[in-house]
Amino acid sequence: MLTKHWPGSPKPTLDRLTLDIPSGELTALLGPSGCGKTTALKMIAGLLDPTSGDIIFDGRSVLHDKPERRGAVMVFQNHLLFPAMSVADNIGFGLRMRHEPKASITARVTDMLDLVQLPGLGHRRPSDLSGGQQQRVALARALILRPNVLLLDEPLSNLDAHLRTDMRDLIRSLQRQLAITTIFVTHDQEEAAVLADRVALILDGQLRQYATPKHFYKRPADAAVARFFGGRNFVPGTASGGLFHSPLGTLHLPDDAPTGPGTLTIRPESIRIGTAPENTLTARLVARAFLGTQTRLRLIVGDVDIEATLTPDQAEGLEVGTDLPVTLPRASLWVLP
Amino acid sequence: MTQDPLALRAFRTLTLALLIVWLILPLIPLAIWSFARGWRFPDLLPQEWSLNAWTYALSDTAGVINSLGLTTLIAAGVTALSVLLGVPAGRALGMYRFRGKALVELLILAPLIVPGIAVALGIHSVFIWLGLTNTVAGVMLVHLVPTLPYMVLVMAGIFANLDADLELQARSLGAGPLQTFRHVTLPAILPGIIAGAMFAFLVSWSQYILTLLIGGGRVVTLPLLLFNFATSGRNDIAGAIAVIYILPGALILLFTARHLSGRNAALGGIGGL
Repeated sequence: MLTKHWPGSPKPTLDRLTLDIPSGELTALLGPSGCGKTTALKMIAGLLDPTSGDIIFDGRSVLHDKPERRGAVMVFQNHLLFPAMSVADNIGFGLRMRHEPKASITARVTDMLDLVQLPGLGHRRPSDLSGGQQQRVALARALILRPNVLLLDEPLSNLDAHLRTDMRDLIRSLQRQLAITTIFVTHDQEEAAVLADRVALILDGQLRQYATPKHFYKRPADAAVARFFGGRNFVPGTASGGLFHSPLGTLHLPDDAPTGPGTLTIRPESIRIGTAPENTLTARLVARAFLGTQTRLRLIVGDVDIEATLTPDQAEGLEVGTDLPVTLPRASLWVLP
Repeated sequence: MTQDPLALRAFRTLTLALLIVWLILPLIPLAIWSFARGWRFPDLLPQEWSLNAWTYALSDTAGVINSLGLTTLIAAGVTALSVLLGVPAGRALGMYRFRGKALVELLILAPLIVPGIAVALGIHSVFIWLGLTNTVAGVMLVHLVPTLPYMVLVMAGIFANLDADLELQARSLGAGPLQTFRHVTLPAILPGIIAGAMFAFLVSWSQYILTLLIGGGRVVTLPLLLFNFATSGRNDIAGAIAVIYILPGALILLFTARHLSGRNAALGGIGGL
């Protein structure tokens, strides 16, 4: 129940966040900027005191442990290498602060440089490195300490698109290899989905859903969560007896769907063009847009707007203004409260 | 830097030469005076040379050596106090937001705006009450009036450019508060401290009015001594003392010149005032 309420602010930056983070896993704190996720990270690192709540590592409260003794190492968003030190001195910083013997520091720094694929760059100045290299040095500087918890604040946000994929794979493989419990903050749902074992979505300082990435796509907790993950289609109606009654007509629901009044949702990419034994509707294609790897269709069923995305090949030959058979596969439907 | 066009380099050399001439030229007659036995108007150089002024200036009776020590002690003390007070104050102003910050900034700037003599008269009556008049400690304290604003403003500029997360990063990597200051904060702010300390030392070194007023003529620093000889018509001795008086400033400038040249954080701080 971690809360941070800045004095003078009308509501808490982070409101009663409760997370049970499994050891050795990669967990993402996901949310738009300003939702309190960096605040949460700093509190876990001990760099910020929570207004109320507790932080427990392996059954023991670390709330009163100073940041340097907590075993939780944070890597900041803008990697913050110490400009006056060489790359090797940056990586060895934490070990020097612990007064470890020089020879062992040198050896471990060399190992670390290899691990983050920067062999032989130890003597360079941080300012001589590219953004991606600096980020890897920052990662090495934290990993060398073998922290109990590694905290990464937007580790990919300062990188170019092609470097981002490399860095993402590096983080994933290092985390697997070293089995360090890792919490990373991101505003990018795709990044969270690809990297994390579990994702905690925070909106407006509140935890909205904590689940595996797949769950967020298949079983979003509410419409806001679904929207954050790219959900576009929301149709109000009533679920009963495995059926959903709405202006779209009557549709078959998956077995675990809740009953009662609710909102039907289906992801744009789950919609199929063509007929099937169940859940097939007739829709009019009113607009289409080419988006490179996919094509977005705007469909109207009765007076309900529906958005579907297909691959450009699948969308080949579909004419705007014609009526199409559209199938909403049962397994892809979900009912939100 | 080596790619500058020739014209620019020539211009730079010329202005530098002019600056040096402008600063050095007035000092030359002083230096000549100190070796002269009388030097009358139409003569370009003194008729007779002598070491009398120097012998006297360096003798015990003149009090120059004592005064040099005292002036150094006061300036060093003022510098140390300026650093000790100015660094935390500059950090507060540069890094944090707090209620009444604008007022504090104004109050810190005030000694630069209000004429020092007016402030000093007020301080004088307070210091009489505190028993600080006619003491070295009192003189040191009053010298802080002109030095501290510079120190605070330089440090505020330096701290404003320092990313607060850099210290948090060091803490998270296992450095304690003192280690963080020693290994991360200090290297980042050192150029500012050096620039500010140099300022403080030289401003204290050249104080006349404040020393006279609070020291009450008992605390005789070099500028006071110099003024005594200058007004009593001993141009030769005044010249010798003046040369001695100029020396520390020139030395400090030489030693710290590299900290003030180039793309240096210290100048960035001053530029940000």
